Amino acid sequence: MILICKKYKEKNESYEEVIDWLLYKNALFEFLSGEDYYEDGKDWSLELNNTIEKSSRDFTKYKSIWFQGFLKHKSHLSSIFDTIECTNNNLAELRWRLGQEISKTNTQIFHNFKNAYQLPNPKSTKVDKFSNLRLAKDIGLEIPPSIITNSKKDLKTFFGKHDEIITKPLYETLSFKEKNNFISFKTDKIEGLEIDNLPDTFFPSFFQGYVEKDIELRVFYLEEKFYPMAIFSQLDPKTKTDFRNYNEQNPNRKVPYILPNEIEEKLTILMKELDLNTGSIDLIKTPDKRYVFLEINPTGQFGFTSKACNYYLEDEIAKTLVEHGE
Amino acid sequence: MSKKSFKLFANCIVVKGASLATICDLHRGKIYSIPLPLAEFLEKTKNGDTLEDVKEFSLEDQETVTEYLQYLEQNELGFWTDEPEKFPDLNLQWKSPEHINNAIIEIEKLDDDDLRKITTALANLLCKFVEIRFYETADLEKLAFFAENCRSSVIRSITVFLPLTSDINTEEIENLSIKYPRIVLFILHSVQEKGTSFKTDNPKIKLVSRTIDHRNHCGIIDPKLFSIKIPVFTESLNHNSCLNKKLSVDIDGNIKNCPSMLKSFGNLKTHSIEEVVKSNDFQKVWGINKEKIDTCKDCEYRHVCTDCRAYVENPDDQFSKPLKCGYNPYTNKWEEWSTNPLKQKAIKFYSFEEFLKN
Ligand code: SF4
Ligand code: SF4
Repeated sequence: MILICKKYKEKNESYEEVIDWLLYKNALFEFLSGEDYYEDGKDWSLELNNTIEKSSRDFTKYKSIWFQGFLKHKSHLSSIFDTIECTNNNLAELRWRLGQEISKTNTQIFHNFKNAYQLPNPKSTKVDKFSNLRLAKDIGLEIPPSIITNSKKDLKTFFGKHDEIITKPLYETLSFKEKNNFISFKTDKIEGLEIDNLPDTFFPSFFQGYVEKDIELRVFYLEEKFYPMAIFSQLDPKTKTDFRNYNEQNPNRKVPYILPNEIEEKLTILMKELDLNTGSIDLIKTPDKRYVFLEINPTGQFGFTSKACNYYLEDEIAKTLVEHGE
Repeated sequence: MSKKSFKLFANCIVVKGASLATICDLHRGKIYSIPLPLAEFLEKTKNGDTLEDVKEFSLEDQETVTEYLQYLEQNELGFWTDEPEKFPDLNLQWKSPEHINNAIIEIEKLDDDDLRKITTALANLLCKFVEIRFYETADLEKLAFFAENCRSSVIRSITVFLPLTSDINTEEIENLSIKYPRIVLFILHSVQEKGTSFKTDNPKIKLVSRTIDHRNHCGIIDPKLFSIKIPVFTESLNHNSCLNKKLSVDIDGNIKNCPSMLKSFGNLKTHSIEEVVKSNDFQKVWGINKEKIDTCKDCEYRHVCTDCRAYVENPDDQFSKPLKCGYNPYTNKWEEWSTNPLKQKAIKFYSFEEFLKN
């Protein structure tokens, strides 16, 4: 039996297609979501004492687990917060504390997976971009010059060295709607003028020297196999900084690519170190043919790599789950 | 200097016909006609040294080829690279996670029992797309019954054809469109000039004046219907572009590849749909790809075109070209198929057949 872990409310086509393949293979599967634990009002418990450890849900039947997500942070418990009366500060504190409680509880729920095959292990999905860069560098992969700073002075020096710089969130890339605009955490180019307008110290932020691109590479990794896709984002000024700034009329060309063995070997080591058996890896290939590692998304979208390159990743994932789920 | 190859993007694929070739841009959904020698040149030079290869042409042709390459580059169909081996061809595999992908149901005379059998089969066969056809009367209760019974299936979309008759309950259509989100489109056909008091803003409801009171409306080949996409292209390489993984139940409950085909594999009342679909006999037409079809095999549109095996130029030959295609890949001209003198025999044949059955 396979257990599929996801946020029920999140619509995702490539995920649906994996289910199609599982059905086609007559695989047995069930679902699990944080919503079952925090929103549905169903009873559950995890018990631990000197002699036993037990869970109200029987996890022993699951031989293989596909971890695609668990709980949406923004919406969970929102109904409680709608009715609570307290100061904004306390509300923020409360939300943060409950968030921490939830994450500790989740770790215990995931502990039930320990004897099953996990794609990937939820513990490994907590991305830390800066640590990953350090690890990549130690393995011998090239990385963009990176800095976390709150200092205008240091940022100016950094900018002076690299001419063009970008900022991006250390945590997930995301944007959400606020009244008439969006609050976004995304990759953005920083201009000299913007730095001049900063106060002497500001909120600590993550900056990277801009790496000149020939092409961008989005590489899906599954059990030591690589499915690389080259993205020709340079043809279009709109997507030069980040190809996710999508141009709908003229989508960037995306084609299959073959990585050099040496890069594959290093990436394999990186994934092993991170205890990740799957994920999407972003790289840049520079005009002078260097490969620069950017980041890893363990549960990122694979649909458009799959479709553009005709890789049938949905089937590959289903196959992997079935192989381990019997 | 290192060699430089001009390469088409892997999802821009050259297809050669008898006297022209196309580049099928499967990514952006566009198709470009190019001369055959250019197609051959592009194939030859993709991993070679393009500037050297161009020199094999006469001086005059060199200029033309160079201009073409510029055009292809500007339109982002290809690019220059000194590492051509890093950009492999697209893997042309095709597969799909269903036993039946789409089904056409001529629902008018089928009873509840039949409909239950059909919806169970569609669920078991993991069918994704359904077309429901009403020709003369629209029975919305029947439609609702069908949609209700589809709830536990993996059906992604249901398209319904119904005649806009004077007694039709248009409010009920609006209701059904909300109650059953899987019904994505209602096509109200045979809309008469004076009967068009019905207006709607519902994007799921479309009115067409064409009379679709009979199955023979199907099978038209038109460039507007070309589908320039990876799954269509790759499926067409080894499978029939219309009938692969298709199932239909005709107005009398006969299980067929398509309602317009004469061959029935048994009736719903006596045969199990699932068993029929499994049989080699039923799946035989699935393998009739364009390479096996007369004329189409020489056509540069063969991997983005649809097909029709029900209405063909020579009704005695199951490998003959679709009757309702006006394209001639030898002269590269599109003509009106219905007035083509060579097709009159087949046209007569099909109307004669239909006449006998009615
Ligand atoms: S074979 Fe022809 S008539 Fe039958 S469904 Fe296909 S296009 Fe229509
Ligand atoms: S000849 Fe007509 S039906 Fe055949 S592939 Fe060409 S356009 Fe399509």
